[in-house]
This record gives sequence, C-alpha cells and structure tokens, in this order.
Amino acid sequence: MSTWHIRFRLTRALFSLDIDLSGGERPLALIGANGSGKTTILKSVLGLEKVQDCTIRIGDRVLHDSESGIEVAVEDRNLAYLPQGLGLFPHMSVKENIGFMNRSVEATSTDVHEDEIFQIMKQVGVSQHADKLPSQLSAGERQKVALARLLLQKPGMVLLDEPTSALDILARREVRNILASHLADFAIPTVLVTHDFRDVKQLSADLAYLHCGKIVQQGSLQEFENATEDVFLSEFLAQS
Amino acid sequence: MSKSGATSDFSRIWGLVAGIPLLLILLLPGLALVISVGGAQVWAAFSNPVFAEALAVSLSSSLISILMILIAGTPLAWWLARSSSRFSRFIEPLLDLPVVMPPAVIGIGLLLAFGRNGIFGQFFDSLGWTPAFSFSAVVIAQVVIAAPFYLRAAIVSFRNQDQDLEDVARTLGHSPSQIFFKIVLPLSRPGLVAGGLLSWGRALGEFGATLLFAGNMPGVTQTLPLAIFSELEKEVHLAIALSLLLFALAVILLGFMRRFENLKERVGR
Repeated sequence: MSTWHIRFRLTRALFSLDIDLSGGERPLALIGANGSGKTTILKSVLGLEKVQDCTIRIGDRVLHDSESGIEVAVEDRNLAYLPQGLGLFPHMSVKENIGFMNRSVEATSTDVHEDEIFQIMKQVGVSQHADKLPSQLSAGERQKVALARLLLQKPGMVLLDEPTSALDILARREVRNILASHLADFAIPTVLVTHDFRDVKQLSADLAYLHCGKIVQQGSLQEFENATEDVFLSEFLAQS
Repeated sequence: MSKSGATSDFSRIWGLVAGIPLLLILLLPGLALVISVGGAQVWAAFSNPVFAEALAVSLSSSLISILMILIAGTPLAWWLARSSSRFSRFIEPLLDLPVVMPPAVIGIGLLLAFGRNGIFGQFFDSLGWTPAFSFSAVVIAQVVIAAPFYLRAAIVSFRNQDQDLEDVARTLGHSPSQIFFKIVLPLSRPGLVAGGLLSWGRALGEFGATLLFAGNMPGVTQTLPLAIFSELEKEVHLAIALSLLLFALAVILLGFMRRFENLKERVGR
C-alpha cells in the first residue's frame, strides 16, 4: 500500500517534468542522467519550485493539491532535505546546527530540548564534537551531523540528494550503514537521488528511473534487473 | 625546469618589473605626504579651528551617510541579489552610474533635482526644507557617491552565499525573515562590513559633488577635503597636514577592510 503520492508538472524554457511517483515505507532511489531533473523533483516536493497540477500527499497529510487550492508553505511541510553540500551552517557549532529548527507541525513544543540534541548526537556518534564548527570535522563526521539534525526533525519524509557522492570509499560505507539503520529505525519514507548502486543495495531501496522528464519505470531492484535494454540502466545495474 | 616553474618565474620577475611604474605612481603620493609633514606641523593643524570644524562636519555627515546606506542599502542589495525580474535586471547596472560619472556632473544633477528651483526642490521648499547648500546636501552628495560601493559589495556577498543553506533552513521551519537574520546576515557580515568601510572611506573623501551641491561653508558644509582645497590658497602647510590626516584615516580603513576580507574567505571555506 502506498503511504505517499507525488504528482506534478513543471515547465521551463528548455526543460519540463511530468512526474507521478508513489511509494511505501521502503526508500525510493531516483536515478537518471545528469541534468534530467532529479534535484528539481526533490525541490518541487519541498515546495521550493513552482509546479502545476500538483498533488503531494505524505501519509494522511495533503501538502499540495492544486485542485482544492491547498498549498502548505515550505516551512510548514516538515520534510527533511539533505542537499549534496549537506546544508550545515558554517557559523554554527555542531550542537547549534542540530538544534536549529522550528517545530511548528506535529510537535507539542516548538523548542528543541538540549537533552534531545545530546541524545541524537550520541546516537549517530558526534557528541564529542558538540562545540566544533562543521569546518573542523571530517567529511564523514559532517554527514553524521546532517543526519542527526534530520532525525531530530522527525520529518514526514526524508529527501536525500546524492548523500554519499562527496565522500571517500570508507566514509561512504559508514554513512550508508548509518542511513540504513537509522532510517529503518525511524520508519520515515525516504526518496534519494543517487548515482551509486551500493546506496540502493544497502538501503534496500526501490528504483524510479527518470528519463526525458518522466518516470519511465518504477519498481524493485529485481524488476529492473529483468529489463536492461536501456543503456543508462544497464550501466547503472552493472555497478553491482 | 618545468613549464609551470618557468611561468611562475616569468610572472615573478617580469610582472613586477613591468608593474614598477604603476606601483610608484600609486604609492609615492602617500610616501611624499608622510615625509613632508613633521610632528609640529600636525600638532599645529590639530589646534587650528578650521581642522576641528571640518573634522566635525566630515565625521558627522559621513556617519549619517553610511548609516542611511546600510539601512536602505542592505535590503535593496538583498532584493537585487535574489530577484530575477526584468525590473531588477534593469535597475542593477544603473546603481553603478555614480561610480563612472564625474562627481561634478552628479553635483549639477543634484542641484537640478533638489536645488531651490530644481524639479523636486520646489516641493521640499514648500515643506520648509531646502536641502541645497546645507548640511543635508553634504549627506545627500555622500550617499549618492558612496552607496554604489556598499551595494556592489553587498550584492556580491549575498549572491555568493550557498542557496542550499537557505533552502534547508526553510525546511527546518524557519520563515524567510528568520533566515535573513540568522543565516544570511551573519554569513554575509564580513563582506558587508568590508563594503561598508569602503563606502565610508569614499564618503569621507567626497569632494566634487559636495562642492557644487552643498558649497564650502566652514562649520556647515566644509568637510576635510573642502578644507584642504580652501587652505591650499591660504595656508599650504595646514592643507598638507590635513591631507596627511585623511591619508592616515584611509590607511586605517584599508587595514580594517583587509581584516574583514580575510574573514570573508575563512567563512566561505
């Protein structure tokens, strides 16, 4: 049964998207060539792009419904976004970065309690860096801080943009492990953009293939392995 | 020798040799000022009432100017940095006009706009405010001349900021105004301060537009550069001592600017 559904159209001068995606609790990996619009899809779901004929439903919450005129503001959607650059604020300490949120939706308090911050820092293994700036951390540690903030947000959905692309091989493996265990523990619907087959494998994600502005195929990894006529797909799956 | 080594030798030796004439022209006036003025001369200038009056006009007018530039210029720069409308694309290059226009032309323009018989001057006159040839005129001339320096620096600072940070902050529940004050301003601060200092330095040194639009009245509109101009014909030693003082102020401002530019590089890393 699908727990979320995303449908919209987006038209620009040299580029258009016509997207229809749905999923359950298993993460969904968006794959496609560079420039095909994967990041734009994430930003559209977040409400950062102007889209038409849109329906976005996450669980019971309708975030956008063009027909009935519902459009929840970006800051009220409670969706977690992890961009390629991680989006850590360089002038704030690790502790401040993690606690920098306004909980206006589905939370009893708008303030983040200090105990919660320390608990989550301990859980992802960055508590010893609480007062350091992001620039004083390694790439893997920065990723963990971003993940800690994301988990503390208790979002309705997690949107990850190439979460392991900027890391070395060992840090990639570590981050994949953290993502796999924590996202499963918290049971948060997840959509990730990736070029790395190991991300898909480790997170046990389903696949959605974006080509020429449309999702041309969506399904489990097994379903994709049976249909590999497409050059991009066969190259992607060959990474296994 | 490697190719890159040869290139760096070329730039090290020939770049410097070719640049020496320009370096001399840039640095010698300051050096000449420092060498020509003795301590006694500076002390005499300090105790001259012309200096005290001109310094008071210069400091008060330039501080009011820079405050006005910061208050109105920061939101304007923010809008220009983020907007992609046709209107903003049309407005942005016009802001640099005062940088390339001769100050005398700006002075004439200000007179035609705000002078007693100017296009808007008559309106202000009816409200009982005549800006031309008053302290207000000094401030207006400085704002027009100096604002583009701040605006340019602020626009670049805002544009260089990682848009993802603002996007992430919004997904964390923060409103655009919270993001501006908690993320955008702190991260842009080194660039904004460096731009503000440059702009203030330009306001302190303003001469041409002030002379035409505000006049040269001691104690009212006579700033330090205008006092230097007046004293050249009466007491040249005082003019030179005042010049040294403005030079020293410029060097201090430059020192602060460098400090903030270094900070900007570190924050951006």
